[in-house]
Amino acid sequence: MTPCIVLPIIFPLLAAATCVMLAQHRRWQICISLLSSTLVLLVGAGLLQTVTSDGLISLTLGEWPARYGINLIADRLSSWMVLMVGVLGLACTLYTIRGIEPQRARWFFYPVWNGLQAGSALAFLTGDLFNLYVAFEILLMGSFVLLAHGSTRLQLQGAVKYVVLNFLASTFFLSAAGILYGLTGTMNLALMGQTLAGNPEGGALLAALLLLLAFGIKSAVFPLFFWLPASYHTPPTPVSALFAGLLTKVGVYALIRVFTVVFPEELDMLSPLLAWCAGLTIIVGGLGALAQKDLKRTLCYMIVGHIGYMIAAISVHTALAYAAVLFFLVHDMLAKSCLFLTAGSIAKRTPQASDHGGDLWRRDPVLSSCFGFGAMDLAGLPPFSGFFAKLLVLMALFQSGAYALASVALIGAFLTLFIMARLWIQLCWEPGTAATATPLDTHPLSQRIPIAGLALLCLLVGLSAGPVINSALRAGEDLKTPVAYRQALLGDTK
Amino acid sequence: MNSLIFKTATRYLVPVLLVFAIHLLLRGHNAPGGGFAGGLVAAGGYTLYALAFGVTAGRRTLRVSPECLAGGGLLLAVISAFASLFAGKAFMTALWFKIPMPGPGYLKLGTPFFFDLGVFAVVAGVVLLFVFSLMEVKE
Amino acid sequence: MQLMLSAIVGILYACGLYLLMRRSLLKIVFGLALISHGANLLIMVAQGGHQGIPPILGAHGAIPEGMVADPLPQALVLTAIVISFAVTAFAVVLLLITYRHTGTGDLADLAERRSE
Repeated sequence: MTPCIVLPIIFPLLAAATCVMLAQHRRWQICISLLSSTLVLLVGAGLLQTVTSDGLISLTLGEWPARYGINLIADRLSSWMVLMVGVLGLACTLYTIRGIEPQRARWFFYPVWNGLQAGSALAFLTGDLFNLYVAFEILLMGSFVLLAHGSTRLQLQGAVKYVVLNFLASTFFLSAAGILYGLTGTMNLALMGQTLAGNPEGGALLAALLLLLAFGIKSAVFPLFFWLPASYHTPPTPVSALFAGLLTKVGVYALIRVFTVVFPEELDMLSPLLAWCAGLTIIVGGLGALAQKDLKRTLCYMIVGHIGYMIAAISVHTALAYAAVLFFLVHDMLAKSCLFLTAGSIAKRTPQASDHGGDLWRRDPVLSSCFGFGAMDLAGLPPFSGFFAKLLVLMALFQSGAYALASVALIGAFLTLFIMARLWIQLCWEPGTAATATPLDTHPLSQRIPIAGLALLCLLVGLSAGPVINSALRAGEDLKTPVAYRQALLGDTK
Repeated sequence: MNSLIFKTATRYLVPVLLVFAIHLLLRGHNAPGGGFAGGLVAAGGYTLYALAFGVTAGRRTLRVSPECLAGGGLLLAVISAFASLFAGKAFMTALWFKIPMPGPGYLKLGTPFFFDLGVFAVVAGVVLLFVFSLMEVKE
Repeated sequence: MQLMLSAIVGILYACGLYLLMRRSLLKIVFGLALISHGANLLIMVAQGGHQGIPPILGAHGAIPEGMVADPLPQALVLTAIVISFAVTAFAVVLLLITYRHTGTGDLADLAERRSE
């Protein structure tokens, strides 16, 4: 079963290679991409099952000893994330069939699309800091190209900010990796943690701050978030849906992974800073969304706001908090992708309705109920997964006595509820003008299926929250005391 | 580029460059060189040809499209990493085979070579893809 | 030597950050390139800068004698150089396309044009 840990990286990579060779055949590229996403989804489910029953899976590439070699490792958190890569990849690829114009798809759209997924799978599975950097770069390179792909004016303006900020973040990441290599002589996360443990050095704190800055930019945390609302709404719908689901969450994942394994002491020191950033992120995201009129832009600010919840949970760093982050990640990936796909479908078919006066409920009940599902999920209404996600975060905050942060989180939740309700009323209930009274053209099935599927998944995760929360709680304990993770990474050095 | 000297020199230079690229690829295991450097030199050779005789001629001489070269190289590299799984070793472990050759010697061939060959093709393919598309851009 | 290299790393970062503050996109791209060079050099400096013979086994697996150089930072830097090369190339192309589509490489002008 061990070898299957490389498969989530290999499948998209093979798909990318084949798609490059079949550059002129769009149908084949779509088939191959769908196949690869399905396989990633299956392997992710398999990984999760194996990890749950037998514990961690780790693999040293090329049988090099752990100090020099590259490790891949899967625990519960990684397996959940790989599973989500499969789910989102499948949904968004389905949407690309009718969501990307064929002439746009000719210019290496699908190879890059698959490369992005390979990069994120690698980021979730690696146990090596430098490899994490490489994974980030693959991911970023893919996102740069997809963001600027087609190069409309609006896209270019967003892409400039995105590229500059993220390139800068990568450089900070690289500098931190260099400093850490100087301090520890290894790139293996577990060995680094072991070497740094117990001897507080200025260099380690500097590296931790640099990494915090890098991951903060990538996950759009408060002072460093403004590139996100400037760029995420500009590319075609499936691209922004995949970005919304995956990219910022990779940053959050890296933050958890690196800080729990390498910098547990520095995390203690930095937690007030994290708490401030988290609170401000929640507020800024909520207020920013309140001020927007455009649907996709509102959702962009909602991404920022919800990153704040995860950072808030990380700042108290208890086992319950990590469990909350895992659950929140799963919920947020599903909800954001669903909402972005829905927003694309709404905006595409009723261009004037992106503001308000959509009267969508009468014209397309299915689409508007999908939007309603996503909105209720994001707002955190009870049967949906968002309710449990926010509940867990609040419980974690209360448990560690972070009452101020908890009240900020509650205000943020209220803002989200208000914004989502307002959007729903404007888009679906408000009677339309004469221009919007015309019936909608039919909604292609390849767009309807992913939207409905994601909306149902949001509900399903909420309805079957018990097992997911159980898994998340176990994962939280493992993350709080990553003994097993370290042992698996160190492997045969002893 | 309509210079007779350049065209004539290119005719002689391109084979030398290609042979040198293969030399770099083969010596790369134990000495400076390897697939990356070799691929760049090979791409340089074809770029020179395309500069002298035009992009269409360059594409024709390459026979396969740069896209296929790059994709095929990536496939080859990934597949060579898989070979060790069938031998019961960890993913990407190097496997070496001794193939007897006529005469006293033998050829030592391993999966890293195929990985390197894949890198060679990817680098050459990607660079040529850039160069050919840039040369075809009409201002 | 170590001190000089460290100073160069600092100068590269400082120049890069200064260029990043400018309004012209071209200067920003230059700034990014300088900072990434600084980061690459930082890795080489951080590993201690001790020199040694190439860490390659001799004939029949003979272990080289004497102080051997640490090959890992060089491998890391090589990877990082290739990556930053690719990203810089992308940034330059993005700059070129932006200039062609909007007729300006100035960030303030770009922002004004959006509000039009």
